[in-house]
Order: sequence, then C-alpha cells, then structure tokens
Amino acid sequence: MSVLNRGVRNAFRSPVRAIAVIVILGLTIGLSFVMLIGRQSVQNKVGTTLASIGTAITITPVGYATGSTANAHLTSAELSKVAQLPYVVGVDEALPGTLPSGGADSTLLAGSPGAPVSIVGTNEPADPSNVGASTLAIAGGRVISGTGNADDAMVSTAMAERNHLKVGSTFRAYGAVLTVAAIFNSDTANGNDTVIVPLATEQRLSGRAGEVISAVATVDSLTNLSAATGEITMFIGPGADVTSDIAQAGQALAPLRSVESLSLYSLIGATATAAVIIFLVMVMTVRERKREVGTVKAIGSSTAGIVHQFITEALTLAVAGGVVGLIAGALAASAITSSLVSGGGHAGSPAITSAAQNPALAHISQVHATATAPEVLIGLAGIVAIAAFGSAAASYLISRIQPAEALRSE
Amino acid sequence: MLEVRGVTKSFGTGDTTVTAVDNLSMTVYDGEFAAIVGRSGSGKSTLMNLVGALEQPTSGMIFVDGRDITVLDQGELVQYRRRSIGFVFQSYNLIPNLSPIENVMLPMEFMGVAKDERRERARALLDQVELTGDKQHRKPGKLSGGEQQRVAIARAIANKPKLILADEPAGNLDTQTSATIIELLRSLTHSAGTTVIAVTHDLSLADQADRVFRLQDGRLTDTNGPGPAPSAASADGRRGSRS
Repeated sequence: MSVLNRGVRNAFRSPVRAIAVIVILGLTIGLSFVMLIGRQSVQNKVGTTLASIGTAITITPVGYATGSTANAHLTSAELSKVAQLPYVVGVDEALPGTLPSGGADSTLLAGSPGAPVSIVGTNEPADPSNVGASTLAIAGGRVISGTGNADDAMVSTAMAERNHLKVGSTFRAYGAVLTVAAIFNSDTANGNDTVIVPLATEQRLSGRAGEVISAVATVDSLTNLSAATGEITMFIGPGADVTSDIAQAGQALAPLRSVESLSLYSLIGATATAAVIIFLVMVMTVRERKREVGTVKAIGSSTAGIVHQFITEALTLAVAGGVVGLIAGALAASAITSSLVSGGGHAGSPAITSAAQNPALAHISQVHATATAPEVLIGLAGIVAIAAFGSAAASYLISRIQPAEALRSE
Repeated sequence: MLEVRGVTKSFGTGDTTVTAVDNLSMTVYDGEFAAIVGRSGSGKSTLMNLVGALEQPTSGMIFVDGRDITVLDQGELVQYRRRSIGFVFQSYNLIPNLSPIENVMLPMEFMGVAKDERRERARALLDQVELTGDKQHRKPGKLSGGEQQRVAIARAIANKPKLILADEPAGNLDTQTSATIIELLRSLTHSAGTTVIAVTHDLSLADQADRVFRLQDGRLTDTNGPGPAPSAASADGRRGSRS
C-alpha cells in the first residue's frame, strides 16, 4: 500500500467527519470560486467596455433639460470653431425637438397614442447616437445631407408603416411639408420613434436658428482625447459640460469597479477561511493521531514520510471539497455576479446616467459570469496549495516531537 | 550486543525535575531474552524508549553493536529504528484502518521492500505467529487482544531486526494468551537469534528470561543471568530460566 493509497483511506477513516469537512470546504471553496469568476468577468467587462469606447467628446449646455422652453443651448457658430481646435476631426451637432402627434401641422403618429413625435436635426444623419441608438441601417432611399437645408427627412420602418409612408412620400411637420428621403432601422425603440432631418432644417422649422443642444466632437486619437477635452473646455467656457467617453466610462464603470473590489476582498476572505479550515482540521486530525504518529516513527517512518502522508490526506479532502465547490460555484457564479452588479448599478447612479447618454455603455450592467478553464485551473491550484501548506504545517509540528512523547499521549 | 553506559534521563515538569533513569548501566548479549522488571514508575519504559531511540538520554551512552546511538543524527536514528529495532507495545498500537497484513507490510514499505515481496513476507510472518486465513484481512478492531499482539509481533520482526523491545507485551492479555505470546517472543531468540528485551510486571515472563534486570527509582538493583559468555548467546539451551 502506497503513501497515496494510505492517505486517501485515512482521509475517509471517519466518513461522517470527512463528509462534514468536504461540505464546509465545498462552501468556502465555492464562494472563493464564485468571487474569482465574478471578478474575472467584471474585469473582462471593464476591459471590453474601455476597448469599445471611442474618441468622442460630448458637449452639452449646462442646465439643459428636455422639454423646457427656456433652455440653455450651444450655437453652430461656436461649434464650427470647436471643429478647428487641435486634434478635433469633426463635430456632430444635434438639435432635438418634438412634434405633436397627428395634428394638422404635424401629421405623424407616434408609437404611443398621445405621445409627441421626436425629431432631431443633425449635421451627421447617419450617426446612430443622434437617436440614442448604437446602430442605424438604411433600409431604403438615401441618407439625407446633414449640412444642407432641404426639407428632407429620414423615418424608421416602424414609423413609415404606422404612417403609411415610403421613400418619396411627404408628411407635415412644423406646418411644412417634408419628403421621406430614407427609411432606416435602429436598435432602440426610441431611435425608431424619431424623425431625422438636416440640422439647418430643424433650426429653421422650429424657429431656433443657429441653436444646437448637443454636440459630439471626434478626436484624432485616444492619446489626444484628454488634451482635446481640455482645449474644448477652455474654448466653450463654463456654459457647457464637456465630457469625454473615457470620463463617461469611468463614471459608468464605477459600480463595476466596486463589485471588482468587493469580489477581490471576498475572494481573499473565502480563500483564507478555506485555508484556516484545512489547517484546523489537520491540526485536530494530527493531534488526535499523535500516538499513531509515534508508532509509525517507532517502526521506521521518517518525518518527511509522515508529513507526506498527512498532506495526501489533506489533499484528498481538499480536492473532494474543491470539486463540490467548483461545481456549486460554477452553477451559482452567474446569478451571484449579476446580483452584485445590479446591486452596484442602482437607478439614478452615474452608471445609469452615463449609459443613457452613451449607447456604448448601454449594456454595461450585463455581466455574464462563466467559469473558464484558466479560472478552474487557478481554483484547483489554489486548493492544492492551501491544502498542502495547511497540512504540512500541522503535521510538521507534530512529527517534530520525539516518538516517545507522541506514544505517551492519549 | 547492547551496552547501556551511565545513562540518565530526566524530565522537567514545571519547577521540578524527575529522574526516570538514573546513571544506569547494563549489558545484554546477542540472542538473549532479557526481562526488565520493576514497579510502575521505576523507569522501565523510559529505558526501553532510550534503547529504541524513541527519545534521547539526558546523559550517558548506549552502544548497539559498538555504535553509540545517542550521537546519531535524525536520519541515522530513523535508519536505526527501521533496521535494528522492532517494537511491541502493551496496547499493540496497530494502525486501526489497516488490516493485519497491511500493518505488517508497513515497516517493510519504510525499508523500500517491493510491494509483492512485502505482501508475501507479511503473509508468511502472520502465518508464523499463527494468524491465518481471513483474520489477516480483518480490521484490528475485529481481532482479540492476543491476535492483535501477534500482529504487533509479526510487524516487529518484519525487517528482521537484531533487537526486539517489548513493553509489557502481555500486559493486556489473559494468562493463557500471555503465555503464548511470551513463548512466541522467546522462540524468536532461538529461531532467528534475535535479542528480545521485555519490560514486564509479569513474573512468569521474567521466569523464562535468560537475564532479569530489576529497576527501582530508575536504578538497577539486581541482575540475574549468565553473564557475558559468548557461547551463552547461542540457542543451544544452555541459558536457563531465572527465578
């Protein structure tokens, strides 16, 4: 019988205790594993989110509120100067407005009965962010010119069907007749309920000549994002909020970073607990078998042989507990991580606000925690290391004593 | 030959020091069956532990075949216990979750004997101590005291040691079983030329010994035996029982 075989058998010498130890270990190891998976998943989410963040800077007037008639605003004149600032390669300007649903001067019907129809004038009609979406695909017709002043419009497929429109059809807005130049599909309901017109057309028809409510400046590279933000802030002055995507992401990711920290502390705590459990179990086991240690030394075992055997016993328990923990952890990881993430991103938090402003951050709270091979291997390696260290320390303390002293113990 | 020369073993218990073995000297010749008798607390077991290198003396020397075992390092002590000594304990001290045959195989595993060989030898040794059949595969808890002590003896002689140290080998056994175990130990000196030193309260065991050492308060008070006659070490029957 080998040391390995004997160690495994010794681990189950007392089946009830062995099962109890395995269950307790399984719970702590499972918690460690959940935290490991959760942390990795959150880190991955943060990484992919940051990687997807563009080189955009959002400019909005201070004090702007949707629906207010006395809103602060930007102007096309000052934004054209922003476009000339260093590192800035373009400025996407937008002027949102609303049309009454189904009136004489505004014939379009909104998606919800009685709700107004959203309209936005923009110099970049193909940019999905103007309608709060992350994608915008043309289903028919041609994209209108954002820099022109024509009475052309783009409507979504849903809106076209609801109002019996097709490319070339006309409808009334602000009392003027607009022609459907293109039909599009976006990935949000709000986007599909918004009419897109050239910026100058919206300014003219809504009586807000030269006004712009929001603008997005694009910078030539991520490296220059911070410098360009500074330049724009300095030029615009205190009348507008100038926020880069990175800054928005920083706000949006704050709850995820909290979850990341929480999971790290929990991981350390649960791992330390598992280590303490293994150590105490082995101390108890070794002390109970002190006399046996004396006997085995008397018949010729070395200290290393005894330590080796106790390590095998501890590893057997730890691996069994580890398997239970890994399975339980893998099953619970997704739910627990989602719970932690949603708990960190409550309504009204910076994450929600930023996510509403930036479509790239819209799915930031959707973290899918799944166990991958590296995490399982890290978990198993941790279990083995903890068990080896805990049992070696406990058995070494006992095996160092004189055999006669061990034999005298009860 | 075992020669204990001026050995003292003291234990510190709080502020006081207890001397279990006090400047003791004795000699046991090869192939002898020696008994150490004395009252409880007289230092018998401590002396056995010292000879078996289970603990170190406070002072003095212990020579086994001319080699002082009190100066051996830890690795050498392991080798000494592994190769030269076989222990038989009063309460058997079998590993409870190992069968008799696995218990007997254990010292051979420490010696590095191949698995098949140690299994074969363990079976033969158990046959020799008359523990046969399925009893060789039962857990120790399902064997009688006498049977467990037979297993312990088989384990003690597994590595063919020169010296067997038996601490109250019949202390937990009835009279008849006790006689059987004593005879078994005595037969080892005849069949294998092994030296057996047994600590005992049992005068019937002492009666069968070639040499009897009487201990009191850690000191040797009396020795009965044939003395250092090389021929006496042989198993020719010239060593008579002492009373």
